[in-house]
Amino acid sequence: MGLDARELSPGLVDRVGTLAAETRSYHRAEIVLRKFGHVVSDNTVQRVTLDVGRELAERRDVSATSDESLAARPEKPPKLAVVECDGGRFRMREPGHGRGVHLSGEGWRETKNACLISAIHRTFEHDPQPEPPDSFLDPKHVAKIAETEALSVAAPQAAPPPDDGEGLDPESPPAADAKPKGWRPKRLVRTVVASVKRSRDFGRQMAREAKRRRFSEAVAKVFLGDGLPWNWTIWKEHFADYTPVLDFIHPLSYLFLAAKVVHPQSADDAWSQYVAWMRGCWQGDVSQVIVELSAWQTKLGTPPDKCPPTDPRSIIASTLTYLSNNRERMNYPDYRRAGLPITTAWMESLVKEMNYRVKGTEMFWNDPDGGEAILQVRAAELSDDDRLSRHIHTRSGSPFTRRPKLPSLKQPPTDKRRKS
Amino acid sequence: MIMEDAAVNGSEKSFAAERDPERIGRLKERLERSLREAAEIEVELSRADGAIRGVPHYSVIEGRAHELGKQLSRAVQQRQMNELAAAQSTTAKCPTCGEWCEVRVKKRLLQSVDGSAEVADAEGYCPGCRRAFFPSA
Repeated sequence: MGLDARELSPGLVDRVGTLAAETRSYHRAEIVLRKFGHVVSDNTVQRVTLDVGRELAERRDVSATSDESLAARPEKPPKLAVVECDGGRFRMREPGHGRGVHLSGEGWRETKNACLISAIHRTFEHDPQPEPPDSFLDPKHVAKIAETEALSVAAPQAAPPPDDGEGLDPESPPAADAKPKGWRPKRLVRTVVASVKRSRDFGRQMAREAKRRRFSEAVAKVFLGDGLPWNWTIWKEHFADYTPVLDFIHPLSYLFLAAKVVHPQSADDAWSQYVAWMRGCWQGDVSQVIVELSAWQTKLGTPPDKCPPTDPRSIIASTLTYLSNNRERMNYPDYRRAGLPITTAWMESLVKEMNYRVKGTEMFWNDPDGGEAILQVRAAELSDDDRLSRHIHTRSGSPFTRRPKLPSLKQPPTDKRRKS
Repeated sequence: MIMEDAAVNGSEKSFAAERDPERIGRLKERLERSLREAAEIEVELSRADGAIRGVPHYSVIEGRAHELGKQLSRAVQQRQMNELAAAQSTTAKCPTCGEWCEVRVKKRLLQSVDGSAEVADAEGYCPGCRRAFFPSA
């Protein structure tokens, strides 16, 4: 009958689970529940989240061919399969400690998030947008992206509203005089995978989700990530037949900083340099950008040992390393012709949605169970296939008033590698 | 879901009765009649007890109507659980040790989306494990 500990009906567990996933604390969930006439304590909200989170983790880890699998198998494979992953961080208490602030160091722990999106797209004979969008030519916007100060150069002409690709209709071809917009794919169904587990385990979780959703049968497949090494290890191990694409925003940030340090005296020259390099990458001429950066490295000299990362020599060296390591994933004109996304905007948006629930001031999670459980519940709630409610309405009940204690969600050591 | 389970567990006769379209039609008609009557009584009652006078704020109408719906929901839940508990065998295997144990029907307060409902629940007790269990889990 799916009765949970003989206290709450499945319908009420659904409300509790949804509120636990959508409000910023168990206490807030309790307040909202009370407002709607349900007297459920924050401890019960937490207990339900732990139970449901564990169950979701179990279903996430079953074979993709099992009916127990969390992801529903679609009738048809997607036209375009998009897989994106990225790291996040949240704070956990010292392992084995409950409420109260018990931190091991700062308590930060890396989380891994992935979104798997079925989408529709169009292909083009020629690059549908050979020139970079105006937003990448706006000094203030670029400085914001690069998380640094803007260059005080002449303001560009007012840019048209950004194209979000919403107007894309896959059935109707673009008009002959159409501007280079509408080439971006349109998202259909997003599902989310999140965990604090090691990248090796996380890669398997992503692969199972993709298999269940028939991503391997898609007409076109793309894997996007930033420069984090584990992204590309997962791609190599599980998604090697997907087109690998480096998020364009990341090289843009590197190039902006590099341009600033090679022209420290002239904001105009620095901006022109950034535009030239950024346009080069946008148009697929990464090799030329590398040649020019190498020339600057020669001129400035290679960074000595223990050179601070803010030193111009270090900035040029790290930009060169970044571009050289990722050049095979920077054929942006080809990707646009194929109608593939070139930024991890969908992923960045998801990370914000995940962080809303799991990261914040005074927000600490029990290690190991609490953190992993809330990631599962939040990820399920953010998935378009209503998997959280589906799970709650079909979960088996407990023959006891207290569920038998499940084995702890053991946490292996986290990856210590940081963004490259 | 409960009805499907009941159909599987019940006799073939009751299964056939549940699928009888004429009977289903009659039951639906009866239910509609009863709901109309319940609505009429509620309107009369709200005027008789003074909850609604003149032109009330709509929230008063909505609140009372919703409470009636919740009352009906709890009554249905209680009835369904009573029927299931009554149909439950008097013995069941302990989920831990597998021993056959005595099962009794007990009252339990269950929190549902429509408020707390006291429902009948078959509860077994295993003397070996010294633990209560619920065969209908």
